[in-house]
Amino acid sequence: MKCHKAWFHLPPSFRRCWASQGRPVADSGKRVILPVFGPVTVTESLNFLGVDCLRTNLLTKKAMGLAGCGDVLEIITDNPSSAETIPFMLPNYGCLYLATIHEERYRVLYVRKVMA
Amino acid sequence: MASTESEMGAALKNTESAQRRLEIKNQIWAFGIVGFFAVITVWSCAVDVRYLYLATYIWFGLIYGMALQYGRFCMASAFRDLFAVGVPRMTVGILIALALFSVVASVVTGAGQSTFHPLPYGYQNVIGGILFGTGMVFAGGCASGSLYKSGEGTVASWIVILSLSFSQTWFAMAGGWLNRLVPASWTKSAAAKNLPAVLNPTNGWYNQYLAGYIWNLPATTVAVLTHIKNQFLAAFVGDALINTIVPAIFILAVVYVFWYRKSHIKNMLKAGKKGWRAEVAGYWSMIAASRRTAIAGLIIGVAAGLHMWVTEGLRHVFGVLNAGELLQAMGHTSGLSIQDTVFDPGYWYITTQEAQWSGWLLHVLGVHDMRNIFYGLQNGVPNPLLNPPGWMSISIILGSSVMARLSNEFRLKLPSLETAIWALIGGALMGIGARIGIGCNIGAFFIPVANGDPSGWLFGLGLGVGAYICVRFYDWWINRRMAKEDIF
Repeated sequence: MKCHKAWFHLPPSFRRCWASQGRPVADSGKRVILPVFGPVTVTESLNFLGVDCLRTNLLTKKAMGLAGCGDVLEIITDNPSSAETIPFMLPNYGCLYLATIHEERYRVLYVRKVMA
Repeated sequence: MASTESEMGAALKNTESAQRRLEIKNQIWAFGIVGFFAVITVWSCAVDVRYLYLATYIWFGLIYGMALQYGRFCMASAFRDLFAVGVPRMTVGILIALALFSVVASVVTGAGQSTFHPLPYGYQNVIGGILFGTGMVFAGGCASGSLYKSGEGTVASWIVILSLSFSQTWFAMAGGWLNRLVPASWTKSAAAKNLPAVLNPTNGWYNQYLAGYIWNLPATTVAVLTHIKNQFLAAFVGDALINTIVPAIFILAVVYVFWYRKSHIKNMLKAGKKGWRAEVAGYWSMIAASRRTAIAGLIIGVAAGLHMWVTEGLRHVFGVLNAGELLQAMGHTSGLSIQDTVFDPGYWYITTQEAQWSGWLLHVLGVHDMRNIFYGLQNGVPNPLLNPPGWMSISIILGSSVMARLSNEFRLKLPSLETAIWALIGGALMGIGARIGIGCNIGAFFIPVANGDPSGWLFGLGLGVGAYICVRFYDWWINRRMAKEDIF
């Protein structure tokens, strides 16, 4: 599993600052247990902490477009607006909404690509 | 195994207890903010009952802030989600809110209690809208959206407000090379107005834009154009029905056809349904998906109507037309315009008061920023503690914070460096766009449209064009960065 940081060219101090706020990015091949869908294996984890809504939405759209059938995406965002918009985007990109986990400082959304 | 289970149980208990502590802390904050405003209101009114005028802005601002946060009411999001990811939820919610507010506004207008004045219409509405629309998508929030997001703890939105504030002041004062862009006809017309020389009416781009161009333009509402004698009927038919509800239904239909219908019809066909019933069901499901924003819109609509009504009533009671007269009567003369006025729209408005904050700061630092029409003649630079619409913006931020705290959504969110830079650029574009369009997504779009002023639709058109351009640019930018950094 690959893990992507969606910010670019951040000075190290900024990254350290974030490291204390956001959780560490998921480990490779992580399995999570979701409320309705049970255990799933995360294929891609996208960390959008500190990223504005437009970039969060656009990068999620691109990730969904590039995902293979059956892939599970984990989207970490601290942007409530994006967290609410993403589930509405899914039908347009052949994806199924699995769950949103509310962590203390952010939300984690899980989606599965169901149509190529 | 048993040990692992007990460890997990203990961890769960700790998490629950931490969550409960956070909830209590948030509730204390929320009630603390409301208590703060209550104390200010009681104390100031005890000192002088005329401070009630200022308190009115505070409490309505608090309601706006809470409703904005609850409904995620953001026009940047409305346009951006539609163009970028094909999600019409926010667009639909805002259109519904607009329609609902127009009904309330028509009642207020019909009762003769409206404080609304139509804006001049012309190509500047579209140009201002384009600049503002581009800026708000870059910034990640419109003027109202940035205020409510600031209250949620989004630091990028604080940067947007700062940038919006200072860019307006710069633009209102800028001369030099910008003077070369002023058409001769504006200079001539501005000179013909015989304004006091201290305002430099023929120097500075914005001075000449206002005195030489904007003031010459017509302004009207559809209610006036209908020539209906009955005030209630004119306001309802002209302002609400013709200018707002019918266009809103039409735009909703366009949004349904181009952005919603495809996915909905697929589901309907799967369920074996088709024909006009399926279309009506689809139209309705699109509206129902925006319930939260629509509820917020209803609250904002009622509050905005009441705000106009109460302000007009207080002006009548205190025998004034502008808050500046009240401030002067109470001995606060610093920062008043040469007409002894300050910015006092009497309704929900954003951006000018933010410009006044930076204007006041520069004024305190010794910059002569009253030597222009924007500050010197129209709005003044009152102390932020005595600035009624300024307090409204502060209470919008804190009202949003109250709501975010009560729903445990308040988080201090630092932006990435790139987001911060876009916020700075977006805020500056929004500031310049707001000055050209004489308002923001609220003052030049939401309020004018709902009050029957067609210029609001021109600004709205500009917002759409600007947002579209920005989304396309952002898409290109992200593709470029992704290719460079081998993301995905």
